[in-house]
Amino acid sequence: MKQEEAKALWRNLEETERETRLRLALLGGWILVLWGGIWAMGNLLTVWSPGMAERFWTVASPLGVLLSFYLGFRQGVSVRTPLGLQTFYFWGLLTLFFLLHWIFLLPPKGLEGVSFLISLVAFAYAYMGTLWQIPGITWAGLGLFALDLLLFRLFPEHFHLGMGLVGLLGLAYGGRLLWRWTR
Amino acid sequence: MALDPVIHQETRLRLMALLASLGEGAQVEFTWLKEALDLTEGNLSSHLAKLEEAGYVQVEKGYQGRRPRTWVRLTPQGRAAYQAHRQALLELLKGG
Repeated sequence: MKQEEAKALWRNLEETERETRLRLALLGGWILVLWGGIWAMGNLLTVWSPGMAERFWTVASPLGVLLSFYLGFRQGVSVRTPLGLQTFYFWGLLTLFFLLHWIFLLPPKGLEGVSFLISLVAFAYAYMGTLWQIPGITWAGLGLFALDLLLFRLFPEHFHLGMGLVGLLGLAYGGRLLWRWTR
Repeated sequence: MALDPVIHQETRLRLMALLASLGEGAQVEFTWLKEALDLTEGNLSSHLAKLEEAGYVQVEKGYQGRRPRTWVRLTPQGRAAYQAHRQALLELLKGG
């Protein structure tokens, strides 16, 4: 076999392995479209219309969580992996933590509370990256945490605008993946 | 280490790579596999038949409620064969 042929096969093999894990970890791209959209809308509304933003978050957050679990469940119907189950349980426990924290302990009020929630989600994604062996997701999670800290500490007046832009980026990237995997 | 002639075909290599990346104990539904690999039903069935004949995959037909489903999983033999093929390819690249 020629070197060039072997290189092409190797690239093909690596790409297939990587794409498969990415597709499953991101639920076919849908999770980025869902939360990118919610995050962009919610944060940008917070900048331009705080009253409407509060109503939006009240409806969109629980709906987003329910849809996320539905997407995970729907994928699990077609692809049954121990890793998928682990991911499902992980996010389930994290959601339980959010609920208990909100209802009984410390509701995430104000910028401090929001920043804390985002940090938690950021580290959750960093962990997801190690679980699914996708360094890009780990770095994205750590990057989100760094941005969260930076905006909260140094530019709090621009926090929601910054997060809104991150949401738009997530939405765009998720849309791109969705197009790639469904065309 | 020699390349496995059954796995070596491009589509079957992608199929094995996909199944191997799901981890041990994983099983995937035929339709999802078809969409993920962008293959026709006939094409995928033909490649699965060759891999099943070699003992590398197990194909099970069943039902989910009333819907018929076909499930595909990598056998331990298939996982070992894929890893060996992967290693052989890597050695070929290093040796070049």
